[in-house]
Amino acid sequence: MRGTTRTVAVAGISAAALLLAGCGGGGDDETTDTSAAKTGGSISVRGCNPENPLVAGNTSETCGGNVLDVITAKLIKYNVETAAPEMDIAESIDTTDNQNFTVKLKKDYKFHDGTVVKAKNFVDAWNYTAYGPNAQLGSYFFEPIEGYADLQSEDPDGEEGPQKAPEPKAKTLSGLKVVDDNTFTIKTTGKVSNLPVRLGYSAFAPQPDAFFADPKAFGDKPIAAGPYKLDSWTKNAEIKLSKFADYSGSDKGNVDNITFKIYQDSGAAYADVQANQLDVTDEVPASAQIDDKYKQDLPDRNLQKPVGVIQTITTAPAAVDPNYGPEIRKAISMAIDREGIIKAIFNGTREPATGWVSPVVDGYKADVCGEFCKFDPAKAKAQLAAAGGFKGGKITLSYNADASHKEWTEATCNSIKNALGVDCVATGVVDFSTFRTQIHDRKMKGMFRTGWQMDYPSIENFLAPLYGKGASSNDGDYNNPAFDAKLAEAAAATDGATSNKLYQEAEAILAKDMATIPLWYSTTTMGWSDKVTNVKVTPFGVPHYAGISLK
Amino acid sequence: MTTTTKSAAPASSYKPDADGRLLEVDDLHVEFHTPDGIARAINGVSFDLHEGETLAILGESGSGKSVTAQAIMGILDMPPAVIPSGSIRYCGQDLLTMPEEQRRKVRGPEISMIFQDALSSLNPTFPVGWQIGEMFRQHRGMNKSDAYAQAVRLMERVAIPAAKERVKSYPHQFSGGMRQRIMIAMAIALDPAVLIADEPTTALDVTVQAQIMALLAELQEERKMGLILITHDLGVVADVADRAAVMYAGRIVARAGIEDLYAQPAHPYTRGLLESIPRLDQKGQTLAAIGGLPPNLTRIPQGCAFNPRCRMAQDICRTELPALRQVGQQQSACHFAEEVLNG
Amino acid sequence: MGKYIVRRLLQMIPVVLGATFIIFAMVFALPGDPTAGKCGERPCSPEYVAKFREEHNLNDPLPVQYGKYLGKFVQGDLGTNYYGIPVKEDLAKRYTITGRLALMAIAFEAVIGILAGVLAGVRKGRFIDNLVTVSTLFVISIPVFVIGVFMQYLFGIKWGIFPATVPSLEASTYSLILPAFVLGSLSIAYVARLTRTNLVENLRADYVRTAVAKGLTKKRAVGVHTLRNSLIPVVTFIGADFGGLLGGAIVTERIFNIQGVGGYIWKGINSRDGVAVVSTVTVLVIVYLLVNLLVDLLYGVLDPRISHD
Repeated sequence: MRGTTRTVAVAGISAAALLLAGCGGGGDDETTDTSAAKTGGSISVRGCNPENPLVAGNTSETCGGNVLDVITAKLIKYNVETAAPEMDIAESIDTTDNQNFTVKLKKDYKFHDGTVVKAKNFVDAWNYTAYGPNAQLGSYFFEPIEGYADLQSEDPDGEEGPQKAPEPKAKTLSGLKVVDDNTFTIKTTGKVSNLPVRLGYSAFAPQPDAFFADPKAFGDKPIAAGPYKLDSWTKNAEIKLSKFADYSGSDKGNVDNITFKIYQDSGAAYADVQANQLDVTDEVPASAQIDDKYKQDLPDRNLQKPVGVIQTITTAPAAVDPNYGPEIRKAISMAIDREGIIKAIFNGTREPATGWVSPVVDGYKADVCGEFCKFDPAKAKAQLAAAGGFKGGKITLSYNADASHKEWTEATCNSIKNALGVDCVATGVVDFSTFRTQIHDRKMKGMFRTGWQMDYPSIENFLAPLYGKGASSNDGDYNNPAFDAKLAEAAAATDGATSNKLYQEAEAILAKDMATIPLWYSTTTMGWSDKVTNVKVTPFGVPHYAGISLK
Repeated sequence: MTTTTKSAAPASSYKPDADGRLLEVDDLHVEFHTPDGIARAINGVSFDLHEGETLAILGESGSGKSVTAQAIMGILDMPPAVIPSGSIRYCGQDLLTMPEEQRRKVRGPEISMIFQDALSSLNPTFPVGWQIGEMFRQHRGMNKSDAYAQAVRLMERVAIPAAKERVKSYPHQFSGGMRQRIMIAMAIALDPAVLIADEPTTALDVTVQAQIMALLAELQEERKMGLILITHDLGVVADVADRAAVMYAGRIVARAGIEDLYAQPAHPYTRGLLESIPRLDQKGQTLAAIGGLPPNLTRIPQGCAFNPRCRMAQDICRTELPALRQVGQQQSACHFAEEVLNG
Repeated sequence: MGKYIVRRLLQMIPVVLGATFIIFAMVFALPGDPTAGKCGERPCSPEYVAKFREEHNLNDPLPVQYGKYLGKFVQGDLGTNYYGIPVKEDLAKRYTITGRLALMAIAFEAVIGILAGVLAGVRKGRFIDNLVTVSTLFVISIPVFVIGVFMQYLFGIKWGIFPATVPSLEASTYSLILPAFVLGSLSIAYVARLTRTNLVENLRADYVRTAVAKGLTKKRAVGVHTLRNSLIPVVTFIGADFGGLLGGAIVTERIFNIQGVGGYIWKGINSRDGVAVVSTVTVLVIVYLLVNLLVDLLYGVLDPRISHD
């Protein structure tokens, strides 16, 4: 997922491996230290205003997502420490061919309103989200499922302007079938080796019957099946959760009440943590990261961990701007002093990227980019000369000016300018929506910054949505049939190790083409008050709220 | 006209002496300590004032007339003003050695003062009746409505038409002459024994001037006040004053009865002042002003202070300070007073 | 006076209309698609966009949009923002808190500022005068966000005397003290200086000499006569300041997490929420004009030389 959706670092796992885990019986007893942790009490955590009502299939930003994370339960969940997928509502997910899956549910999960979680709650919810006219943001997650295309309508907006869209051909996915109250099947259009891994994402959460009566009103007081339930949401003020006694899963949650206090500014939240009036903040402002100030402000009450986020530079498609061919891109990549910029601008809170996949993911192979991602001005210059020199006058690097990108893009441009002797200009676009619109409309020339945050912890998630032909986040229109073929091969592989190896080979193809220029991986910094302990962060960069306990 | 009902005031504890003398200023010196040096504003001034008497103090700006008045009232800013020597006795008591709290009770009820520009001298944000009544509220402890009633009475006394309706009006709503009357009303509110009028008519039209002077004369007659009229305009005081003192460079240089002063000046400065009054029968001729400027008070010339501007100056004038001596019925501080008198 | 008020009220109408139209045009002419931010960093699906545009009248030409908007406004319907919450509801809550904050800031301004100014003016040239002059200069030259963050750190975090941020649900008056002080700090400096200057000037006025010559105590001459005159420009300044404060204070609101009017406008602009921005600005303009009118009337009351006819 681009930008700020939550991601989970999971050791990429194949269906077979999941089967093994599933055979161990549902609700494994992970020996996390929750056995030693105190239960009870109330904590307050930093929150922000969700952009949309809290409907699991329609939330793709952190403000809503963080809350949904802790109140929903899905088929699987991700282990906090290892990010390995574990069964939650699902008792088992079986397949023999990576295309037909049989999902069996545990019998005792309840929604917060007391109703039992049944197979149809999944199927109905997924159909609702996938159905185009419902305009749900999580819709694209269901693309792999057979019948998805029939639920979308053509966008009729042509030169004449906006018109009413025609009705899609179907309302339900042909690939989903309810067998009985506790069983349903999934059929995918093609082979998907990591489908089970994806099922832990909140778009796949079940919805209670109460949802379908009035989805909009539901969003203000959602009902789900997770360890905490939502008691109240006072807009712009707070969201209050309390422990759900009937949660059947193993990760039950320690404190009784969690209050998300809504802040407009991470600085204000940080100040409150220092004053011990807020228990956890997941956003330490940049001003407090300089010289690691936050470590002195909150001694023994902070952490910094890498997350599944990668920053890259994408060049405009060749049709839009012909000056940035693969060989030019390699020269530019070698002209960027990643370490220097990270030290000077980011205070060391990033790690230079050596490939196109985040290191927190299983399947990650180091150094796929090789020498082309290492800073070497002499080699860069030679490479540029060999490529015929830069014909476009000056290099441009665009960024959205409403977030703090100005300094690093300027530093990057300087690095390029100094190494290659070609003028480079960092260009700000007024805000994020304008920036993305220009990219989406293929109007932006030159280079532009891109960031990717994983939807689910799999090497595949860093490759297919970004570099597959016509993929929704393929901003540079990268198109290599060999790459697509390799992706298909990897998707069909029935064992995890093979699958990963094939994905790695696909990544190597990206390296040959320098599809985009990898920059660095991100980290997350958090702080908490002196009242709480056991603050852990999921590899998605989100605090594991259920695990926090009072001292 | 209502009779002079004196306000219900306790009898003043200050009584004039056997001769009816109210005020006695004796060898008063006042200096101003400025960054440019010490300005000697008053250099040995002595005079007295009796009941029912009107004394005019004449002179140019800078002669020390206003400073004298302010010294008597005790409203000089000290610092930068300093009174190194001299005494001011009111009814026998030296005001300069009196404790401030006691002095404050003299200021206003016993000795009061009116100023030149009534518009700026009255507070623009309070009604005139309130300001007049303040005298009664503060000094006599009267309540608000009684004080307003007194204010109405006083305003009627000084001939302000429709006093009752206008008692709540503001200073800017009156004409210049009316405002001065209000100032006078305020000053005589508590029946002071001495009234000092510092250039009371300078800012007014000629016709109004005459009215105000007449009012002052009337009030003085009625109440037997001692009146000190300070002005640079000799034309104004002729009818009203009994005696006059002419000041120059902080000294009294001539003292006489008012007729003598006008008819037979005994000091070159007085003569010069009289000659410089514009007269209708002198139309078309050059105005006979006194040449030169008053001296810088930080550097008063040696000898007679007037010597740089005096037609008759001799060597002795430049070295020896002439004392104020009797010349016939008058007093003059000039080495050649007789010559002036006769010629 | 009555005619004056009516005339001023009538003059307000073209000003308000003009201002709102300009704001309306600017907001809706800004580049950027309001739906783009709603879907994370992924462009929204065409159905979502179509639905959104239909709901918010974005398909009509600008003058028509404005006309529809105006029609609803005069009936008291300030529209619904892009989150689906009626603007009137939001503004009611936010104006309550902004109003409270403004009142408290004014109280600080008036009490501390006037006191300091009077002390400095009466003891001109002495220690207290120099202290006030230097400290006000200091405060004026420091940007408000520096003062805000610093005070928050000192009083909220280090010494823990006040809460570091204002609770969003029920902002107790105690929690508003710190931000109100920060908000008022700049104005305290101005009020103190203004009071001092006016006082010093008025102390030399002739009517003060008269008051002293009347045998009044120094305290009365200064406290009653001089102060009354000196405070006229100060009171009108405070009144105008109040109008400005009612417009919200973006920086202070962010630092202390206050759900005020300033933050609302800022958020509206950022998310291209045209309805929220225009409605809020319109209300703001009306409030400011009304406060201005009140201040003018007040001036006339305080200074009898000013007449309104």
